[in-house]
Amino acid sequence: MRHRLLVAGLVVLCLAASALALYTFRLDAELRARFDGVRWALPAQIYAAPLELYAGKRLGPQDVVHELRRIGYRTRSTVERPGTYSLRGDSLELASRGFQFWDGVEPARRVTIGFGDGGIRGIQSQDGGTVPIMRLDPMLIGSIFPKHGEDRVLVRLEDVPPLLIQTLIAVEDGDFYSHYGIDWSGIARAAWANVQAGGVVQGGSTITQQLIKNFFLSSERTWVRKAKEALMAILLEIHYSKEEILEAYLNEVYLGQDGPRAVHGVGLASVFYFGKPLSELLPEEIALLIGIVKGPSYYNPRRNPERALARRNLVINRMEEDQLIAPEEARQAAEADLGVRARGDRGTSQYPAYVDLVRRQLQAQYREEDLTSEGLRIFTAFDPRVQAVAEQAIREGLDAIERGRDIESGTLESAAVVTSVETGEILALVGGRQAGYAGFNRALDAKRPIGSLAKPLVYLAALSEPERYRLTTLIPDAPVRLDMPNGSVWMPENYDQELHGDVPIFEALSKSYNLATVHLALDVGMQDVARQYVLLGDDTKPAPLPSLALGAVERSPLEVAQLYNSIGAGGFVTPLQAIRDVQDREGQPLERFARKLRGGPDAGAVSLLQWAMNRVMIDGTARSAARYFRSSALAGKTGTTDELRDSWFAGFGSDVQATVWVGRDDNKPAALTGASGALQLWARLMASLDPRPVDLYGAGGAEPTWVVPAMDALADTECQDRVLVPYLPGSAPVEWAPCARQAEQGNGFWERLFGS
Amino acid sequence: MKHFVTSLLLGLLLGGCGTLRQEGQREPVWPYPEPPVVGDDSGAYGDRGRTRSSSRETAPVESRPWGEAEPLPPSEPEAIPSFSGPRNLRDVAGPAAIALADQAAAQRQQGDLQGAAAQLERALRIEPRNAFLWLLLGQIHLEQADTDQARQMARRARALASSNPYVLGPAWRIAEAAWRAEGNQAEAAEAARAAEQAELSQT
Repeated sequence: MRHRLLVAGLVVLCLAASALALYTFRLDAELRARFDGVRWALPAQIYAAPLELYAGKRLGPQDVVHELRRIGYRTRSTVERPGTYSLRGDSLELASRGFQFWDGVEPARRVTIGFGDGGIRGIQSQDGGTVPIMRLDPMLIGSIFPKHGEDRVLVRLEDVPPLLIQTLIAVEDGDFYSHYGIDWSGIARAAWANVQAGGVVQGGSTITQQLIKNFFLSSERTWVRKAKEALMAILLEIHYSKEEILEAYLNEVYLGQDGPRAVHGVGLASVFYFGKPLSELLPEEIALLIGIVKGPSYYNPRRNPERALARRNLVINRMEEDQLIAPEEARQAAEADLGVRARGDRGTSQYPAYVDLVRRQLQAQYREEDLTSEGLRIFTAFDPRVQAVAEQAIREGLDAIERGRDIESGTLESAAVVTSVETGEILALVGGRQAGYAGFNRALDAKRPIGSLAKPLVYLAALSEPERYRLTTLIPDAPVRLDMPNGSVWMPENYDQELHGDVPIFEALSKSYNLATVHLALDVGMQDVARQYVLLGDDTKPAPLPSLALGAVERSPLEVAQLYNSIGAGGFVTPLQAIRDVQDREGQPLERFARKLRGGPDAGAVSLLQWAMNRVMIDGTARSAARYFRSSALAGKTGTTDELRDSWFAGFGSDVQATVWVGRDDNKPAALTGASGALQLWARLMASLDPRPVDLYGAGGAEPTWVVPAMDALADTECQDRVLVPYLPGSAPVEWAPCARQAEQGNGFWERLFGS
Repeated sequence: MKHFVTSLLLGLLLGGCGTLRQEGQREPVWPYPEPPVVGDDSGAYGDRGRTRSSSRETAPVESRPWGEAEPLPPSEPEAIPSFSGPRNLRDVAGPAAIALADQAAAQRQQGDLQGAAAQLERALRIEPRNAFLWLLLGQIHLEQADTDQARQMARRARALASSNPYVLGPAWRIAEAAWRAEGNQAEAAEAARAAEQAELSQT
């Protein structure tokens, strides 16, 4: 009996032991998979365009300081450490950080930048030499992560300031280098505290145990849980060195909450709280980070600054006690304020719409797992200054429209795309009214009818045949009645429901007359109109239906920006791009997205079109925006769709193009025309960018000529309504208008030679 | 031989070796902060540019090397109207663009054509309407055997400076070389004729 009991006991024990062994084995596999996965998963990092500094750049001292603060530079009375600056009047002393760019190393420099005449006057290096051009380190605007909603700026152990590591160990796990994953004396202490409190209140966890807790995202405090953690901690210590564990910990530790996103790792936390890289943290900032580890929510420095300050100073005391810093340094550190920067000014994923665009452009070239794990560095054309201006214009513009027109607050949505005309680079992208929040990216995904934005393409098709059409060719603004193939009848109307008789081509465009445009489109041929989309860089040729003339074609703001950027570039088509180049994780060049030019429509025809689109701004549907601008030489077009559902404006100077859409997500009427909605936002946006004027008369070989547009005839100083209109060589009118002196003398060969 | 020609072309565009390392002596040629427009059809160079046809008639085509005017009595004003717009990058670019172009030249020298292209694109972001920068980038594309892009860049340069023979000449030469590399002799010959025409107007 006793014997059988013993056997049974042994069997149970054996079973239990093998179960435990099996369990341990499984845990071990799970643990190693998780650990290795983390160690090697380096998400692609996306950088903004670096700020280029050179004599002649139109930036004031405050603009540069603003940029410096954005990338975490600090003002200091003595400028020595990289990442510091000092502004005195018109002179900015700067110690730049240096950066490994795709095309070479930008060294860290100490320079003095002189300002004057509305820009940078010159840059002197410390040794007195002139620096013709330099660039700042680029701002990190986001990373490409695997599905789970986490964010990380991974650091290597050798890049972590020693003071941070020493402080972490001193505060969290004094015996880290000597224990085997579990600190028995710590546990005893904790157990005693728990017995006294009648429950689990204290952790006594080692760094290794905390790492495991972070790995498996559980803060559940049960004895089973703790035993499992302890087992895993021992396993971890068997497989990996102390350094590897420490590095993983530094990248895993939970340090706060950024909206829906957990802030893991000291690298991201440094950006999240202080807006600068880990290597530049001051002792008091390191103390705060380490202090937060104990309870990121309880010691949240933004929400509970007093608690956080007390905790930080406790850590500073500890640093001093352990002689990690000198007493004088400790005193200074304890007196400093928290130094946490304002929320919403954070450095990562602040621009979800643009990051989304970059990700999509990359997905055509790279596999998802390469993007999320290979540590690629992506350099883009993103311009934080332009983005800030665009976001502000949309926010304030929509508020003003809703207030001014008695529209329910918060019902309007918007999107904007800003491009550099000559380079075709996408400078800024706003995906919605709340630009900082990831979500529906309207700039890319809201495909809406473009309405009158389609008209310039009709006129471009016409002007491309200079032997048939010039800017003052008279076309009928008369009723249209078309029998459609499906048996229905199409009878478009003008917006003002009037008929305007024979009108010059450019006026039909600038006043956006529907009927004249349809007549012209049918006269030119719908195939030719549809072809303009392809010529201007559109991916898909629209169906050549008559309604195309009035914009019955759906395009996203980004696709519209492509069309209008090509018009702004004088018919030279550059496919819009966000990415400049890609580096691998070692900083080696991987791929360049070289600038591409494509043959487009005739440059002469495009320059005439630009002139007509300038009339839109001067005395056409967009004249209400004139007050925003110093220069009157901008060009653009309003767009409005049926029942005022979509309000568009797209336009450009010679250097920058912007497309703006305003409407509602539920596609109900927004009660706005292109002029009363999108144009107002566009004007605010562009006015802040101070675009350069369009070349109205010189480009494309056109010749400016005085004419009376309504008569399509030559004018002289006697004519009241004369306008200077560009014509391609040989296509200007030859007849004189009745008001001209020459009209009396006849329109003969002799008189024409004489001139006015 | 081919390499020599392209080097010569680049040298001309950049403004000659003699001036290659001058520093701090240049006066900016356009009023800051506006970037220069190299096109001759919008302002400063316009009127002078249009006199080129008459210069062709009077220039001693046969006996004299290009760039040398016929000797004149010293008291007389210059009788041969000559093109006085920019003849190369150094005549018109600001110090930042020149520094980047110099860097591009150095990288090209080391066989790093991609790097050179990157520097030129950087320069073009600063002076997007500088025809000489477009030509230099076109030349790099040519050397990268990207004939289509080489031609497009040359076309862009021509549109920006449609009556500057010092832009038109090299632009057509680039087009010529691109067509030739593609084996299209007819187009190459036509581009060569256009290039010669432009070069005649270079005084």
